[in-house]
Amino acid sequence: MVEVNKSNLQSVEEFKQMFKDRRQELLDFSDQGGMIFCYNCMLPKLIVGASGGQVVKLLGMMNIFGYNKSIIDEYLSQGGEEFCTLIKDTFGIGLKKPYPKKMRVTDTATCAALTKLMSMMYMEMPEFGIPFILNIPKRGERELDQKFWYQELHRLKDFCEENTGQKVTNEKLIAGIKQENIKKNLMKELDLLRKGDVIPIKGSECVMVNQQQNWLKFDKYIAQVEKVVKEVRERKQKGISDYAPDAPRVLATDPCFFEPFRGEVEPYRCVKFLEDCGAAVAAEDFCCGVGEHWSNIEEKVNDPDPMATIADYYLNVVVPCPFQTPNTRRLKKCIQAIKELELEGVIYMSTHACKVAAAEARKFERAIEKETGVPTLYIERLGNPDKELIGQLQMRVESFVTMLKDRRKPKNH
Amino acid sequence: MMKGDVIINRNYFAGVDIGSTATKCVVFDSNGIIAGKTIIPTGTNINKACSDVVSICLGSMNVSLDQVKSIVTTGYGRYIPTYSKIILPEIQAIAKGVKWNDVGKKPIPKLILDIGGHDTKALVVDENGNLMKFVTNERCAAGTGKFVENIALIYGYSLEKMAELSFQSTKECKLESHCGIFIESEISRLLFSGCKTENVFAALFLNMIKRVMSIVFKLDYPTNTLYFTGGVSRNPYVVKLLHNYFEEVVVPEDSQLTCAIGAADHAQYKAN
Repeated sequence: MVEVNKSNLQSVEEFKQMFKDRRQELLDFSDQGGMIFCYNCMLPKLIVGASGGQVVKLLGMMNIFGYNKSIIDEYLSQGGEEFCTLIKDTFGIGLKKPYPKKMRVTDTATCAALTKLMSMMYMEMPEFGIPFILNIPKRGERELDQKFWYQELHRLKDFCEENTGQKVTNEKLIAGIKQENIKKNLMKELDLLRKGDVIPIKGSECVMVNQQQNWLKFDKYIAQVEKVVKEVRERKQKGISDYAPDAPRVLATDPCFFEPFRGEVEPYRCVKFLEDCGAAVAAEDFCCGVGEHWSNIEEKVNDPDPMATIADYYLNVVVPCPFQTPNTRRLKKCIQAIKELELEGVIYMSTHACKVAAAEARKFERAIEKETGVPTLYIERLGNPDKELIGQLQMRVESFVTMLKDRRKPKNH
Repeated sequence: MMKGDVIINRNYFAGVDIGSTATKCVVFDSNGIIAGKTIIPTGTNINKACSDVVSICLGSMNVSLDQVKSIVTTGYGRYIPTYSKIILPEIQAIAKGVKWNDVGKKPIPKLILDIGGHDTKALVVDENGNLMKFVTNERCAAGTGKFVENIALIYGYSLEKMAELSFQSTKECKLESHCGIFIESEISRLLFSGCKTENVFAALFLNMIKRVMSIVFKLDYPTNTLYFTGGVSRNPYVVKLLHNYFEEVVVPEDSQLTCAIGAADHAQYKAN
């Protein structure tokens, strides 16, 4: 295994304290009458934010409040072990106490298994109400689908207003769009700073920075990301790189982000594993990587209907998710990243439990090879690095890394 | 040079493949020719397996460790502390091992299949032996050496006997399970229903090959020739079944040592 530079960025380290403080922040917010909206994926958070609510990913809630063990096996008579890690690790929030008094579960119906289990679980917990499920069309290109999605977002808006008692105004939404774009621009800058031989921030750290938006208060999060970008810029100028000079530059991708988050801020282990095998992870595309933050929400002057702008963004610009067919936007963004960041390989991971994600892998691999000439390594994982067949995975990733290095050489031995 | 110093000619290069089932050592002389080879069971003490295989191999050649200029380790135990100076992932080792076997022949791109104890690996190499792409089995060991080995153990047959019997099969039986455990139940069901042993074993190998070919097909590399290595390549019935997919199936000499040969070749390359 390759020794990767361990000198973590100070600004990244500071996320640890922010994470610790978040528990009390949420309890105080709830005690003062604020509403917390928990979700799993794809929720247009800025609509919730415009209603005065705070958004926290369920996975984050589980960790912030210290529930490190999934209770899925206690709840289901059998079959719990077959679900993906994301489902397992978000299952059961609220059954164990303490938790904030005012909490609602809102989710987007991307993964059917996730939606089903969340609904089953929370129907037994009347204090939280029936979970709000935002339906998203499985195909987004039809006019009818677009109308439906627009209506669904209005339903979400009404739900948020009803629960927070605050009106979602156009002004608040426009401000939210602006803030969201600031975040996207910062994250994109972090990606672009990794172009070239000097990679001043590790991929595992970048994923971790990106993921903090799912549980930290958004304005605080953005301020911290600004500090990270500043520090990374300085490192870039000084020529400080986190990887060995000959480490091949790869894109790490997974159609769905599934890494369990075990109650502390640490470099994401699936990406760290690739780094330990000698890869320089110079870009990521999980459900929240280049596919998401390389696409801004359109900022229109005096936007008469920001809800329509947001609806259009989610359905037609981003949604890099395999539940949708066709799912070409994710592929296009990855191709763009490979070309723009001069990447040498792609490591495509998908969870063993998610056959929807696995179904796209071959098509993705072929398209990437055709468009960029870059090879892809496909890895099927359990999702929890502690339970992986590390020996076999290591052999494959190391072989891939060696292959990428060999491709640079003139063809000889 | 001081008076009395002994000059040691370090003219040997060793490759050690520490696999899940067996540990293999191949030693090259200065001309890149195999001067010694040894296979021992890996067992539970990988360190011991590694030092044992090297000393047995060198002992059989009457060569001391001092005479070995470099050692490359590969396989699951490649990070073994004793010899971990140069490490080669086994997929690269296979590519190099097949290329070494090809010395003197016209270099051509190749499709290689390696079936080992726990892994099935399919790889494409260019005419210079450089790895172009590869696929392995995922989270399941069905279709690997152990898949057949377990059945051999349960029913008390040697692998050679299983292959021999399979050639005598007269009627096609079907085994559908890909699970190494549930396949036992299926085999029992077939035997209880009166299927002949040779037909059942032939079905087992057929099941294995279907699994293996689903991996090979992922490479999307049409060719008439397959290079077949790893322990399972010694099984003539598996080779026969592969002929259903390829006009030519090339099994290199010492095919179960391909990985170790590749490692020895790399040791020589690194030393020069």
